[in-house]
Amino acid sequence: MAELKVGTLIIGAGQAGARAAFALREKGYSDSVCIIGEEALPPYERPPLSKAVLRDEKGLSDILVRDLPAYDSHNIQLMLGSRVEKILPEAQKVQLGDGLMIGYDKLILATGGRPRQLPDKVMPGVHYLRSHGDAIQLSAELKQYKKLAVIGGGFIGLEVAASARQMGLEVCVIEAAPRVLQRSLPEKIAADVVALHEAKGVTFHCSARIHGFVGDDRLSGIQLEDQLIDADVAVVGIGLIPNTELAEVAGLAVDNGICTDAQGRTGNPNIYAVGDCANSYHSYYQRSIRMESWQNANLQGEAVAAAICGESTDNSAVPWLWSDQYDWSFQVAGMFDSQAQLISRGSAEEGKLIYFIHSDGVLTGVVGWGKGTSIAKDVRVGQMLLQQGKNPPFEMLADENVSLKKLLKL
Amino acid sequence: MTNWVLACDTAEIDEEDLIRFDHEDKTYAIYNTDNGFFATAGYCTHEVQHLEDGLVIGNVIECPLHQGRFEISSGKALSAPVCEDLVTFPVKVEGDQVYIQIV
Ligand SMILES: Cc1cc2nc3c(=O)[nH]c(=O)nc-3n(C[C@H](O)[C@H](O)[C@H](O)COP(=O)(O)OP(=O)(O)OC[C@H]3O[C@@H](n4cnc5c(N)ncnc54)[C@H](O)[C@@H]3O)c2cc1C
Ligand code: FES
Repeated sequence: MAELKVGTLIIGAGQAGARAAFALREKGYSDSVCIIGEEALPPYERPPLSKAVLRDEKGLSDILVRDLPAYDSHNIQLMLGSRVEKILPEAQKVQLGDGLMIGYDKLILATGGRPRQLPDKVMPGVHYLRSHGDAIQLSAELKQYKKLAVIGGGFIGLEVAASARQMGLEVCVIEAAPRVLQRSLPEKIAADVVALHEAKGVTFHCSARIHGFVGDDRLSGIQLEDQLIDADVAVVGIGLIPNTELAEVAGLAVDNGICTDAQGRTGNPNIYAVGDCANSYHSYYQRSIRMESWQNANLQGEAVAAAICGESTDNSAVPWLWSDQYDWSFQVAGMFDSQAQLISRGSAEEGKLIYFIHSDGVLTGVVGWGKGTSIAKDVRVGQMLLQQGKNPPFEMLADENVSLKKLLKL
Repeated sequence: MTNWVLACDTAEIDEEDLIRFDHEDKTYAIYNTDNGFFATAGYCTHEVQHLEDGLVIGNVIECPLHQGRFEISSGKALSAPVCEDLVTFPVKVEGDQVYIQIV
């Protein structure tokens, strides 16, 4: 059998893999490009999975990273429903589940991650949410059952809680830490997020330890240390484990993700890693960071394409992410540091609350929480202030009468 | 038939900013840039998101939802996730009033 050989082979048909493929073409790469994906679906965007897809407002075709004809017109081959089992770095080949070998000049690992699991055995009614298939199954159960327990008060957990309330379920959130969003957002914003959820009818159990799922053939409750929570569906959102096994076996350095430089290069000159699976040097922070965000997946995809095309751009963009809950949203630029001093602008009631976060007198991040996209512009200007290394006077940041855009020109 | 429609007063749009203009079931975005006034379709081509809360930087509008970027004067999609251009509309300023031409 003739062996396949491609110019750039991408393992993982997700956000980062798809973006890398198209960015290669945008930069004039003319050799063959192939994306191998374990899921049978073309690359799609995951953010809608906990939002519009769960509520049945969007189908698969609405959330594709690019529509199928775009792969043809950009000459990008998709091999879907195929899992790469092994990389043979010396031979520059990968082996698929069915034994097929594919050779490459350049290899991009864009394998994402999988949900961290609770040690308890999972029973019908207990869900994890990472893939479109997961979202479809969960959505069907949310339509059929009445009481949802969300385990984990992070971004995804809270988005699912909001969607389920919008679908009419009774919802509670169980969080092991003393408060929700502890690692990612300041208390002042998290309290507003919780207040909105409570006003919509969600209950919270913080500092709660789970002792196990209760039920015979399917979930009927969740046993906490001091009480039994009545629930017929549960979603566990307690973090992500990066898919690094292929890289480890191939002898690449792995430390909470596949280690790369700022353009996504691993220690092997022909292998790159991008997105949720990569722990990459970040030029802005001057250290390695593994990020789990949509912007990061896109930007790293572009950086790797640039590297393969011999360009010298790197990943120095200030991190940015968003979360939509009900008709509110927050956007975060930069990184939250729990020691930071907080400066606020606007008010929760107006639906416009911006915090500029400082440590050692330096602007380090901004988060906005407001109705719809009302805070987007201010967070974006905050992101630009950070990117440009600007450090405007704190009283100007706090003063609603000062145009943030003008601060860019200071 | 072409149709010039009064969209707003020039003073209604801050410098380097945009406003939303709704007319007969359609929604537009009207911009005030260093190079004058412009008009495009109001919704981002990535998802259903009006551009009114977006950021104008020179001749670029950035979508408030996922920071997709378009060139204001041509509607050209500039950066992911947007890949489809925005429809643009001719604009004329008479006195202090901004008109857009709708087909
Ligand atoms: C429910 C949900 C909501 C989210 N909401 C937001 C949000 O609001 N804002 C935000 O900024 N981010 C959000 N994110 C995060 C964002 O979607 C991720 O950071 C992004 O998808 C990462 O892209 P990726 O390409 O690295 O990984 P993925 O998109 O996970 O793609 C990896 C792909 O690789 C495949 N794969 C893995 N191993 C193999 C193998 N051996 N062979 C073949 N294929 C393989 C996997 O099946 C998968 O399809 C959300 C994520 C989820 C799950
Ligand atoms: S809706 Fe505009 S970039 Fe996504």
